[in-house]
Amino acid sequence: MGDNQKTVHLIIERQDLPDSKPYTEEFLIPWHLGMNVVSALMDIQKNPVTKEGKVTKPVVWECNCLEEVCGACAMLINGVPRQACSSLVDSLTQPRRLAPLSKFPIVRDLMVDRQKMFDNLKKSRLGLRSIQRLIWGRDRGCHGHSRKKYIPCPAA
Amino acid sequence: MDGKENPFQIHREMGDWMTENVTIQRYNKKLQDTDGKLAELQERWKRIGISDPSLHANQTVLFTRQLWNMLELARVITQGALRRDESRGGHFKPDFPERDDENWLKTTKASWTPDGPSFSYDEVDTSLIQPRARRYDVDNTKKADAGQAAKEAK
Repeated sequence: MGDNQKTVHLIIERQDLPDSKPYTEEFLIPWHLGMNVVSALMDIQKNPVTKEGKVTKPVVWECNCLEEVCGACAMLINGVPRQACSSLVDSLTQPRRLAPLSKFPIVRDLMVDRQKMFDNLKKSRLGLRSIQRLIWGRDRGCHGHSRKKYIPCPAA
Repeated sequence: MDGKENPFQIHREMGDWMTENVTIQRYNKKLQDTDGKLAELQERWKRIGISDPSLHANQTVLFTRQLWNMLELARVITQGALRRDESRGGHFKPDFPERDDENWLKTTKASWTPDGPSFSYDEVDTSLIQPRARRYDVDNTKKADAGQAAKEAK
């Protein structure tokens, strides 16, 4: 480290099975422009070797939209829950610590089971109507249509 | 599956080659080279070493299986583009800057064979709207309407 080539130091909390013991592994990854946590994890997939030079299994994590919308890549980054796609490596202090979200059961490494959250979302019955109420206010429906009963807006 | 190749590395190379050569601007020579590269990647795919032996939530195995299909589809896209010597829609071949309705107003179809994709073509239904040149520097809608009206008058 420190030579001409800039490197990124990652300390990752890992766990092989939902009920196995967690352990940490450290990685040194060559830096590149515009690097975010997702692309750093992708670099580990291409060359799954730890800081000590030990060949290991690629880190498991989830991601989907890559533009801070879907939330699939949420994890603890330097202790703060945030999305890996919008976490630019340059804006984090070295070493960068990655850990799974702490309020969900762990599936493997940084991948957690978020079923509880989706079940709660269903229970809250947050539907189109309540979202519309949030956006357009209580009395007026979208495009001015009545919303006394739940009638989908014909213009939508 | 205990060779030296890495599926994520092969995927990156495929993506880089496809983005460089098989997007908007296309040259036949580069398309040919890309197809050769994809064939090479397919050979290398057979020598992949799965870096993750785990039986639980194994993303590497899943990805490797999908990668083969990506490579097959990439060859369909590249070979399909190589056959079409014209510029149409968003796809531009500088060596063939004009649209060629006489030869290429048709839909490319590919079917799978063990030796790579086999191509056939479907006619395009133009019975409702006659094809006209896609030009943005002149208003050619009126002209087309006039042509249509004259046709109906007959």
